[in-house]
Amino acid sequence: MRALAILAPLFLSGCITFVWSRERRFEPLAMGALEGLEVGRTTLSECLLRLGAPLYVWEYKGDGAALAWGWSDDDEKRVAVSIPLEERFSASLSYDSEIAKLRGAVLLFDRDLKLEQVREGWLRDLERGIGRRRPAAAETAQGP
Amino acid sequence: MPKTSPILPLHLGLLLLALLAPACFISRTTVNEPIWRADVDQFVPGRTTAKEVVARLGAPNEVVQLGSRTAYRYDFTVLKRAGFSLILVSFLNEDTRADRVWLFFDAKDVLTHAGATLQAADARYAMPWAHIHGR
Repeated sequence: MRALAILAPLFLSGCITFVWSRERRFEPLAMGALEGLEVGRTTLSECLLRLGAPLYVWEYKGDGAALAWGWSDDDEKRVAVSIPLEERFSASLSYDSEIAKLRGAVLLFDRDLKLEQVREGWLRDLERGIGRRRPAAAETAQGP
Repeated sequence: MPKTSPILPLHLGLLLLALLAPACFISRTTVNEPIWRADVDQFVPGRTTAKEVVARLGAPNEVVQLGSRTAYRYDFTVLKRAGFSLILVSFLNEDTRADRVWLFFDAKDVLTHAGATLQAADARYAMPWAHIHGR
């Protein structure tokens, strides 16, 4: 009875709740959309026509290009214990936090914009594999 | 035989309303301006220049240098969020869809390739268990 008396205010104040949340971002590529793409033959135009606009375009081997399509569907059920004190948002973190959640495909194009390679997986991992480097955020840049 | 007051159902109804009414919400967040298919269709690879694109769509959201080439990104994002809380349980759903256009230019700033995906209007208010977008 005493335990109940202690727990009840916690539950009633919203500190402990069961939360079912789902976050869906962007439309996945259609099933089989990557099938039939031919390395060395398929062009950038054909890929854009078939897959639509990518989420990201990154530089690749000078005049080449890496195009990334991504999406996510995070379904989470949890018991949340929370005491909201303050909410903050940092714009410089938005890119990294977004790409970390996205699965998808990256298509690499050579200098003639012919398909060189198709990779699938988590976009953050695929981006690392390309060796692309993002410029440092202004607030973290180091002076000479 | 005990008599039930006719006021009781009314009180119960009001109590339920008071509990449930403030427990649900929807919100819509947009980023940038919508992109219209008619605008995108006017861009012709081999003819349209970067200057003409900017005159029609405004400044791009991102410019990527690809060696001697450049690529411009325009996008419009819609996030629809729906939530429902009932004392101990909370349901929250977020659905994000976007209009997106990438335009590729050669070293002379002439359009060479264009890709467009216009799906921002497909964003939906839903609960976590709902199947939307065919999933």
